[in-house]
Order: sequence, then structure tokens, then C-alpha cells
Amino acid sequence: MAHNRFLRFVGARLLLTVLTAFFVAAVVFFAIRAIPGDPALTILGTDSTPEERAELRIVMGLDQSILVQFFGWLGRLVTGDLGYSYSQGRPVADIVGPALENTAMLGAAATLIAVVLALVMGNLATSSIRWVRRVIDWVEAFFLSAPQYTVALLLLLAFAVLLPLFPAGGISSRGDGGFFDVAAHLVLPATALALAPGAQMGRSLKTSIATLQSTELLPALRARGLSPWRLAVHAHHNALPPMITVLGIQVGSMLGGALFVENIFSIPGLGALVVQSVSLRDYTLVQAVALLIAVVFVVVLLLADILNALLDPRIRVGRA
Amino acid sequence: MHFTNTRTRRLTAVAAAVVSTALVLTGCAGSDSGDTAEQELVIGSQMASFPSLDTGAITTAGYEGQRLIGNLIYEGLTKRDVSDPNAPAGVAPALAASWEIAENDLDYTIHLQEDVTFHDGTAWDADALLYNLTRYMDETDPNYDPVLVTYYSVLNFIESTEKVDDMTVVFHLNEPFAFFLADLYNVYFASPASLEEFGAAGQAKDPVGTGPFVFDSLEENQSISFVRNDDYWADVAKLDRLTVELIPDASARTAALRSGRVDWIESAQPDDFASLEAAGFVTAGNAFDWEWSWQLMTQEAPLDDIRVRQAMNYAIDREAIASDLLHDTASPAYQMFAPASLYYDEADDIYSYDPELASELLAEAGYADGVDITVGYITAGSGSMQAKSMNEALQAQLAEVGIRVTLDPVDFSGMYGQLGEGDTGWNAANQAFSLEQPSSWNGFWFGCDGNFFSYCNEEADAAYAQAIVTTDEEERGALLTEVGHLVTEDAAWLFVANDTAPRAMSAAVEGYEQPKSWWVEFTDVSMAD
Repeated sequence: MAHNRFLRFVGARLLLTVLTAFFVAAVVFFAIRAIPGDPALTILGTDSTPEERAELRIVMGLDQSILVQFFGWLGRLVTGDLGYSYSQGRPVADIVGPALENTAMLGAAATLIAVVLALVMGNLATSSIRWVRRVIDWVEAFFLSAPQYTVALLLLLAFAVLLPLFPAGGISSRGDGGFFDVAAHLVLPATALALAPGAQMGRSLKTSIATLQSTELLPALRARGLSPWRLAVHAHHNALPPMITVLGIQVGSMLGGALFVENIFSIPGLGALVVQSVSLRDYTLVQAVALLIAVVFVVVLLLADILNALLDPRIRVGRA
Repeated sequence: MHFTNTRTRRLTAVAAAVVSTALVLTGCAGSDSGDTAEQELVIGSQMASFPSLDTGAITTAGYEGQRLIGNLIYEGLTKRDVSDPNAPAGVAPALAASWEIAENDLDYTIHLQEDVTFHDGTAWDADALLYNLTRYMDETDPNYDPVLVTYYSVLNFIESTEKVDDMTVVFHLNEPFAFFLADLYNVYFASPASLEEFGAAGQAKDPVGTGPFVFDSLEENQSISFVRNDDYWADVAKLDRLTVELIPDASARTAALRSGRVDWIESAQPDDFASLEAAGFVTAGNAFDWEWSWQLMTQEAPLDDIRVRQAMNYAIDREAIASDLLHDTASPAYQMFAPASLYYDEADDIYSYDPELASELLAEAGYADGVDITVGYITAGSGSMQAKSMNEALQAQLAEVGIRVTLDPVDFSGMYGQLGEGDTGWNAANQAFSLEQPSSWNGFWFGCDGNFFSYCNEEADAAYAQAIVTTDEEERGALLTEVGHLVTEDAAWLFVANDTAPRAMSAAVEGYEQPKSWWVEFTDVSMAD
């Protein structure tokens, strides 16, 4: 019975995911066409003639009515065809595939760092030593408010230029691309991306631990002879669900931050691609990237919910 | 609360161990790089993405794409002559060794360069030329690409082509066009054998031309690498390898140069020049044909009054902008043409910094109490220089004489989208462009058949129309100089500055002298150990 409910819960969320993605796709489709700009002119340059631009617009299908374009795009999308990017002269799928891979790696690295950061900060923030709490409060405020753009530039300057510990950008060295090579390239951008989400999760962990500390649970467990390590495990198990929810939401802010961080570290990911395709008014590319980002975000939220449901039976059976 | 401390300490220790292990592992892995004796030049480009590598499609990436990709792999019949860094860049032979133009100005006999082979060994001859032209112009050709041909409007002037012998071809034009040879510079030629076998799609991924460098590899959205063409028909390059990395962010480019990730950066920021030089880097720049200006809407009040337009041109301190704001990475512009242009005449440098005269002119025009104008400008992108701070400086300078400017920032596509629709609400638009290809001026910057700024000067229009069909170089130059003279006198634009294409490079880069052009040749460039 509970199993059944769980499946229904996942099914409903999946349906919601598809609807959200469709909604985002539709909004982006019309929004990008509403802002002024001529894709043909950005491709052909200012020294092109109006006739040449009109010709290219026909080739790109932009002479058709907007609804014909929309349903045409939707129809091709259903068959898995993301379209063709005229500004880059190749199929959109060939462009967004590698970009998604890079952003996924960056996101995974940032998540890892954020979780470690959250564990350290959340625990230190509930320390019994006053000055430690003070320092952590201060660090937390700094991490939460420092703009990712600035953090990225400072990290770049500090650890790639002044103290050249890490590469100054790119996702891998030419002709390398092994695990350690990519990892080295990811340290700085992932850190820049992880500070705010890490601090946010740390805060959630701090609250959970502090709440727990005010109850009788931990002294009771200790009285039963549990080792400090087991105690910590219990404390963190309770703190986990809210942390995962926060993480899921923070993935959205990470995707936003990737816009800046990928540009600064010249990582060819989705964030860099968004900036570039919007400025080129490459409609098909903008649509594909926006759709992909929406799907990634919704899927991450879904995963967070599923994970929470697995961890917390009350959510699973819908009694929370 | 003893347990909290214990727990905290343990967890902290674990976390610290994880982080430091990760740092050590990755840090060590990051510091070792291959140390072969290969001479490699790595360039940090401001391009945001790579274009398709199929001939004309490379022009999508603008001058930078042509300079750092197109001209390395491919060649046209002609090229920009940058052999003298102190002279404006004219037309030089490339895959065409020489040419004759018939009396009727319609028949161009082209003698092809001898002993040229494509990178795959295919010979360059009349058949190779014709194969490529058919591919560009014949809609039934299997490799015809409707997008590609839009980059090559010069081909529309070709009525027919005739093969005289293996190394001679005659183009018959449908009407006289004086810039035929000049505009052929980027009509690239690809290996017919490679097109035959792999088609246009093959060319887009694995281009085969005749250029000084051979395409080696491309890492999607990251870098493109070329190796020297040892069989190049002219001077063989010194570099073994040339790599271009995409670093669109300006601060990131500077950091990449400082950290040694790249040896050379395009479009260096003027504010970084002093510190880069202090750190031992070499900066380069040479004023070229790049006009950074405001195009004025001359049909609407208040800028329909020539006195207001002239007042603007007298009100601004160009020297201060070029030297103080841009640290001499630009030179002041006093007229339509840059000194690096073939059509520049010093006598037309008529606007000086004279705020008093500007106030007088304004008062004469009936704007003694000042006037309000709105100006659209492109915030960033290739060639826009330091658009924001430059426009703000102009705003402040114009305010001194009572011209109150409202700035309206847009992006590149937005600018031309709005101009195309015609309803901008602007009195002027700031843009930066090159005037080196006169065939493209009409309709865009001026011309009485209609243009974005409704600027029409019948006399200039007539001189321009005459120049387009005048094959004699000197005569044509004089006509175009006259166009510049008239437009400058009319104060059709606010003339501000010419870019120097600021670059910065490591001291190890040798043999580079920046020409007065956007075009760069890498033949003499080498890397010191």
C-alpha cells in the first residue's frame, strides 16, 4: 500500500515535471522573440544587405507566423529533434550535449563542496565555544552575500594568478581531460559556486542541530550508552531532509551562478551558452538551453523529494 | 555538552582531511604540463563560440574568426596587404598571382598562383577554382549551401567564368564593380577532393584549404589547434603549432595571460595595460580603420540642424578620451576616415575641442538653454571598446555646453533590431565599424536610398556611386576621399575615436609587429625559449 502511494507520488511529480518544462519552453519561445533583434543580422553582420537578411530569414523559417514556428518546433521536439543552430552551423544537440556534460560536472563538484562546507559550518555553528560560533556566523553572512561573480574573480586572481595552484580556466588541458586534470580545473569554479549554497545548507543544519540540542533526545541516547559517533549520526539523520530540500532549491541558484562562473573560468557549459545564444538571438539554441535548464532544475527537485521520501516515511505515506 | 565538542572535532577533522586531500591531489595534477620543445603560440580570443569551419561560415565569427581561423586554413584570390605596418592595408595577391582588367571594366583575367597545393595534396588550378565557385553559386550542386552564399555577395557580380588554361581564368562581370578584387579576399577555396568525398558537412568539421596552417583539432567550445603547413607556397611559418582558446570574459583573458595559460590575448583591457607591462608583458596596438562614433539622426530635430551636429563635434575632448580614459589604446578621430584608411586626407581633420564655439553654434541654432537628446549604444562585444565609460565621458563633456544626453544601453542584436524597425526614440546611435570595405557602406551608414539614420547628402551619394564603378585605383580613392570630406563637413556623425586593437602578449612572443589593420599574419611570429 505504502509502496503504491510512493509510486503514485513519483508519477504525479513526473507529470508535473513535464508540464513545467513545457510551460518554460513556451514562455521562452515567445519571450526571446519579443525582445528586439534580428538573428539574420547578427549572423550576416552589419555589412549585409536587406535582401541577404530576408533570404536568410526564409532559410531559418523565421518568415512563417509565430504559431506555425511554435508548433513546428514542438512537433520536432517530441520526436527528439532540437533543431539547427544557424549561428554555429550545426545541430543544436551537438552543441548542448557537451555543454550539459560540463555543467553537470561543475554542478556535481560544487554540490560536493557545498555539502562538505555545510557539514563543517553547521557543526561549528553549534559549537559550545562562543568565538567559534561568532566566527562561523560571520563567515556564513559573508558566503551568503558575496556575489558569485566577485568570488569567482577573486579566486581566479588568488589561486591561479598570484599563487598558481590551479589552472586559470577551461574544463581540461588540451589533449588531457583525465579525471585529475578535470578535477583540477573544477576546484576554483566549483568553490565559487558552492559558497552560498553551502552556507545556506549549513544554516539549515545548524537550526536542526540546535533544535535537537534543546530536546531530551540526545542526552537520553547518551544515557543509553551510545558512542559520540552514533550520537552524531542520529543528530544528522534528523537534520538531513531539510538539508536536502535546501540543496534542491540551491541547485537553481547554482544554475544561475553558473552563468557568471562559467564565463569567468571559460567553461563551455550551459550558463556560458545561454549568454552567448541570447546575444546572438539564436532562437533555437536559446529554446533548447532554457528547456534543458528547466528540466535539470525540476528533475533535481524531484530527486530531492524522492530522496526525502525514502529517508522520511512520513512524507512517503503523505502524513507529514 | 561534552559530546558536541567531541563530535565537532571529529567531523571537522574528517572534513578537513577530505578537503585537503582533494586539494593536494588536484593541485599536483594541475601543475604538471607537457614540456615538449614544440613552438606553440596560444592565443586567448574573445570569441564566445566557434563558427562552422566551412569556408564562408567562418565570417559569422567576425574579423576575429577570419583572423584567427579562416585566414590560417584558407586563402582567397586576394588578401589584405599588411606587409608595411605603417601603411594602410591595400589589396595584395594571394591565390591569384596577378590580374588584368579589360577596358570595359567587366572582364577580369586572373593568373593563378603556381605550385600551390591544398593540405590534402590536391593541386590548386583553374578546375579547383571553378569547382568552388560552382559549389557556392549553383543551387543544384550537392554541396550548395544557401546560408554560405549570403556571406559572399561579391559573387553576385559574376555573370560567367571562363577557363583559359589550367592556370588562367576570366571572370565576366554583369556590371562594373571596382571592389571586385578587394572583396574576393574572404571568398575561401576548399579542396575539391575533400568536398567531393566528405561534402560541406566534412568541411565544417575538418576544413582543407591552402593556408599557412593546417587544421589539427577542435575541442568543442574550448579551443582550436593548427599545425604549420610545411608545404606552404609562400614563406613557411615559424611556429609549429597555433592554438586559439575561447575566453570571452575580458578579466578572465587577462588572468589567463598572467597565469601562463595563454601567450597572447586579443582585445586587452586598457585599464590592465600598465600592470601587465609592469609584470613584464608586452602590449601592442596600432590605430586601424575602426571608427567608434555616434551616427546622428539627421532628419529629426534637433539634429536636423547642422549647427547642433557641429556643436557636438566641437564640444567633445577626444584627446582626453583616447589618452586619459583609454590609456592611448585608441586615437582621437576628427573625421569620417581613420588615418589608417586608404581614403584619409589630413585636411579633413576639421573638428577640434572648442566648447566656446560649440556654445555659440548651439545658441545660433536656438538652443541657448540647452537641448536634450537620447543615444542608444551597444554595451559590449567585439569592437565596441569601453562603450560604457566612453559614452559616459561624452555625456559629461556634452553636458558642459548644454547638450543633455540620455544613454540607452542595448546589446548588439537589440541595436540593429530596433534600428531595423525604425522606431528607436533615439537621436543618435553609437556604433563601431570598419570602413575598409566601401561596397558595404551604402544603405547602412549613409546613402539617399534610405539607411538607418536617414542621412542623405546627394553630392556624397553621387561621388560614392561613381567610385563603386571606377576601376582606376587613384581616381576611385579621390572620389571616396571626397565622400569623407562631405560627410565630415556635414557632421553627420559624432567623430570620436579609432581603435588600436590592443593586444597583450608574453615577452616570449617574437617577430610580431602590429599592422594598421584587423588582419594579422603569423608567418614571422615565433616563441623564444
